[in-house]
Amino acid sequence: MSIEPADSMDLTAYVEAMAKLLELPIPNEIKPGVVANVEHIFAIAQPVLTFPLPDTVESAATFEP
Amino acid sequence: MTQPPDALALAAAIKAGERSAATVVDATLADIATRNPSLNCFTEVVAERARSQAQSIDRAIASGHDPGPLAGVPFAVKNLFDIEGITTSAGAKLNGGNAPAVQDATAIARLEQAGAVLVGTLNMDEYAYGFVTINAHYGTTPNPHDPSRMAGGSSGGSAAAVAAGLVPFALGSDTNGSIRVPASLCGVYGLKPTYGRLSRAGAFLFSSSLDHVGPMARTLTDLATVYDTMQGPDPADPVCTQQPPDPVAPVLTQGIEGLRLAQLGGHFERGMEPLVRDVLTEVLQSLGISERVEFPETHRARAAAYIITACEGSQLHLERLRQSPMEFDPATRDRFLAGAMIPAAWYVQAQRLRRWYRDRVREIFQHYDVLIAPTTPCVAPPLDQTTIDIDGDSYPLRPHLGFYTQPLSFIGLPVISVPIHRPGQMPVGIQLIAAPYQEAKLFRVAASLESGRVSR
Repeated sequence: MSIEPADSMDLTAYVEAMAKLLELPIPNEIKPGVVANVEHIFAIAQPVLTFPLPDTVESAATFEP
Repeated sequence: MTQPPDALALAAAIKAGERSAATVVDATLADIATRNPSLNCFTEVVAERARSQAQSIDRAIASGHDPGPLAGVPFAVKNLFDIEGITTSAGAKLNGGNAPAVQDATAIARLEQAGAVLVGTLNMDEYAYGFVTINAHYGTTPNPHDPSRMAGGSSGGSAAAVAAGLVPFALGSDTNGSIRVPASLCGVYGLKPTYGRLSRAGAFLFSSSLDHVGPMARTLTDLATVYDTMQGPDPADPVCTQQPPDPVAPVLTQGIEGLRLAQLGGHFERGMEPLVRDVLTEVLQSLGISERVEFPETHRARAAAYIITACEGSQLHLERLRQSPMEFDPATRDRFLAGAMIPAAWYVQAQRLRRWYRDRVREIFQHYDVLIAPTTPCVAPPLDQTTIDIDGDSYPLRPHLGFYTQPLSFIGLPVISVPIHRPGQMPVGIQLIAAPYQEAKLFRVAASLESGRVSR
């Protein structure tokens, strides 16, 4: 899996859509900072997302009933 | 800086009747009152509680009872441990409206059962999301060795209070390096035990999949005693291990014969300052280490730790982010808001990568007992520094402080950060890393460095 580099317009739209979905109002004065951080996270995530894992590898999050 | 007695020396003097716990605690409270305005480690002092506990220690001794191995020893905790009757702020003004804690955190209760005396809470990055202890609400905790430099974080108040001698030991928490980074920059011992080894009950969590609690101290014997006191199962923490305690104080004199040691290479030997490299080389030489081993895909592990932290932290604070985004510290707010928007598939992939990485590292630990790496890539940076240049490369400073710590807490490995002090220089921290539940091996190697006068 690879992801096209998103331009800041796309990410602003993404942040606005997600904010609506999450019912998470973001004041306009801090929106650029949030968009910048989303861009930063999306860049950081690439090595995780591009690494192929076998189907047999389960999540490390565990639950004991 | 003044260096008051270590915890065990204090306890011995109190138990021998040379000093009373009450006078020790009074002296500690007076010292905090005098020096904390410039050190800015404490966010709250619980003087009345401390005096009352000290008096009960003195009464126990007077009536012939042994109050425990930490009799009368003052200590303090990062501002995220519950203290009965006090609201746990976790470094955030937003928590101010929360109800006071109804009981002490398990870690505090166990230490007081062993005779220790809680004197207060210590500064941190808001909600533990940072490596610097620069807090918009509670101010900056400067480095006690040089107030123009960072103490590190997020347990910066804990490391600085111990380094400055305000208390002999303190508790912190570590999600991606928050015990080890400030321990390194302030020049004290810091233990991040195996994930699940110590109960986190009553600690305000940040990212449950990665959160640990642990002690910081000026001497290794203090670190060992405090850690041993905190061990043991706790049904109040769903992550806490059912394994029986494995005391480390008895192994401090065992030496390192038979232990298979190596340098941790690859990711863990890149991007460090020359001074850190010199100290690392000295430590490797003193331990006779020439072998080097690498963990695979460590850059991916570090990235996955970032994603898990951001997702879990943001979800924990989602309602506060909805209601009061502008009351967050600006240093954490935008990161929390952005973290709330990470796709679920990314989080699950990060958790699956965690298991994959753990399995690879487990294989490596079939052949080694303790691995060595720096704790931080640099000594404590100036407070206003935002980037760091190493070997011609420029890194954003704050995240780079966790460069060597984050991939290790990601899979819950036990780590001690050992302080190395050289005259005229800022301290350097070196990580000793073992397989899960092998803390005792870390203490044996740390004891060897201390007896060889490599560490302080």
